[in-house]
Amino acid sequence: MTPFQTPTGFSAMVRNPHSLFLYWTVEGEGGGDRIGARGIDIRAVQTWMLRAVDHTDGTVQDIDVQLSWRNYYLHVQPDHVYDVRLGVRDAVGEFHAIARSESIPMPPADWASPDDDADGVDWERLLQIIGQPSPGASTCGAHAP
Amino acid sequence: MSGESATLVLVLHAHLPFVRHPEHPAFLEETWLFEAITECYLPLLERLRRLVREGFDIPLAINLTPTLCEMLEDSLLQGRYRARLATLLQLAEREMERTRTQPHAYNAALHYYGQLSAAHTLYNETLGGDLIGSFRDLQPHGLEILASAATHPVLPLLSDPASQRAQIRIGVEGYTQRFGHPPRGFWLPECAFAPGLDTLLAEAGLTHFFLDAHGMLFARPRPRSGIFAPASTPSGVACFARDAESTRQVWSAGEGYPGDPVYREYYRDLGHDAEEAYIRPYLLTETGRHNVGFKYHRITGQIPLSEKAFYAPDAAFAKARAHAADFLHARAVQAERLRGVLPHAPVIVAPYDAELFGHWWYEGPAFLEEVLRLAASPGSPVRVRTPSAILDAWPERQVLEPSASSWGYNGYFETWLSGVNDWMYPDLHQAEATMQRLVKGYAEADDTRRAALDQLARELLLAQASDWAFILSTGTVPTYARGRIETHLARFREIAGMVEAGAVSPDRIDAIRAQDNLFPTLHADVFLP
Repeated sequence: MTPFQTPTGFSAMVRNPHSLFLYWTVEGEGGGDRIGARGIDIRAVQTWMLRAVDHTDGTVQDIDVQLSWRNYYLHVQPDHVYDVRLGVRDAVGEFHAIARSESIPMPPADWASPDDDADGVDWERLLQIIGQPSPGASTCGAHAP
Repeated sequence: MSGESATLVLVLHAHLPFVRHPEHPAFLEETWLFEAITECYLPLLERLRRLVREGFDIPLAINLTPTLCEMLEDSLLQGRYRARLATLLQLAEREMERTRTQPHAYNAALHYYGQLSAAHTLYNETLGGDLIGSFRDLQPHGLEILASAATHPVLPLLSDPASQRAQIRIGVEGYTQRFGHPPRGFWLPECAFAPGLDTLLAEAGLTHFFLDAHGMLFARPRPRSGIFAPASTPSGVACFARDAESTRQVWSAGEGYPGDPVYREYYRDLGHDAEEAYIRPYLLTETGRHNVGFKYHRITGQIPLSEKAFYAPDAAFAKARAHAADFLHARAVQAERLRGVLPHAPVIVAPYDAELFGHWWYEGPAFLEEVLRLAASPGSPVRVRTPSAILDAWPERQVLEPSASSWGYNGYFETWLSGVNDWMYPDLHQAEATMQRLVKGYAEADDTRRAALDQLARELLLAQASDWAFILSTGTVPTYARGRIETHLARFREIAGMVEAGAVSPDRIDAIRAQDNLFPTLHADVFLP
């Protein structure tokens, strides 16, 4: 049987409120035993897959990937909580997770709802003066030629 | 804080990556440090010291990053800087001769001779090369020095709290050794925050840090004073938020002060303009050209570099003083708009890269001096105060959870995490895990193994610097940046291999340490989870 590569590490990094960077590492070959030990028939594996579970609204996103890609930028919703799993889909379409991220809270991309205990702050006026947040560009590193 | 209509918090972030190359007799990237010393740090010190001599307080906050401090204290780099300064002073003398019949150019040449002579005297004679000590001595006069992480990583992009904690602790310990007391405030590299970091700052005894505006504005719950008051995080550490309006006035090349036609044009430099035979002795490379800091033209307008008008230093510095007055007036107007909306006078936080002042905006240090001078004058509606002074006078703060954010492009982490630099993170994170695994036996290790683990930590810290990912993102010197990451990770793997095999070569560790010699008192157990 051809040796079967499997991921040995899987991580998720927050890039911005709408984007997660996922990467997996693959070292060596012959990990088929590990999958076999989990009861998955590797000869039946059709597709590697990412499954993103949105714990805020309960939706599930499945994305077909190739192990050789080594990473993927996943579009997500701000202020939602996710966990992402890397796994395989077998011949009958069933997903088997091989690796799983920790729970990932995405940053919000907007104001919180007004506070009931806001001491009479005129939010509309304050927001008007501040304007929409416009994250600036740092000049850090600009000393480089 | 009664009487004034606004409080202004001026924060300077002085940072350079660790660029020290003893393996070469001269190295172009080391000029980043030399240019910053001559054009930014010395002029800034000169002006702050003058204010003190005249009886002014200097309620400015400045962060000198650990890598910058290590370089400023390094004897090899100090020697190279002295040599470079002497060379440029020789060039200044020749330039006065060369331009003697060209009144406009001669005027600027005279200015550069005066500037370099002053730098030479201040650095060599007055300060004895000790810039850190000079900043330290300004503390009793109001200067608040902020700590920062060891090698300027984007902390949220490190793999785990143990790596983040190590970066923070090394920064805090170095600060305490240098400045004689533990720090209060902390500069998060790139203003990069993620929930949980505040807990690590609290553990390190820190009291405040800085966010970009949306880090505060998108906090939960909503900030009652917007960005115009400090708040407390759940861990008790206070945070200040950057004000976009005052940032834009200074930062923006288009609509900001530095783009005024009268100011010096950065991009036209004698290093590129002069004839080859004339300029070659003053260049650090045998081929190619680079800036030498002699710039004879002003911004003039949106026209080709070849058509720029001559630079007139006196007019430019007068404009910087006028812009300082305008800047303070704009803050007063801003405060007036907020009157009745906020139950207090606004705290307006204006953080900038220090190197903007003097290096990019040549007249910037004069602007800063004038802002401090005018704000201290009787009747000024705007007062400058340090963050610590504000917190001392503002004990009741709203508790909120700031949002993940940075001051980079688009406000999050994509400058340091994109298709051009994402390849580095699997290797970096693996190295972080290896570091934590190998350091577990540190307490029982012999001196040889400990020295290896300490150097292992230095290589990891250097690889974690945000500068390499930033440079890859901007494309300025990508080969150098990629080389630095690969070199530090290669050295890391080499040392880790020796440690794992129980076969550490002291000579090899010494050789690597001679290259990457920062943090001499570092103990690797700072990485223990």
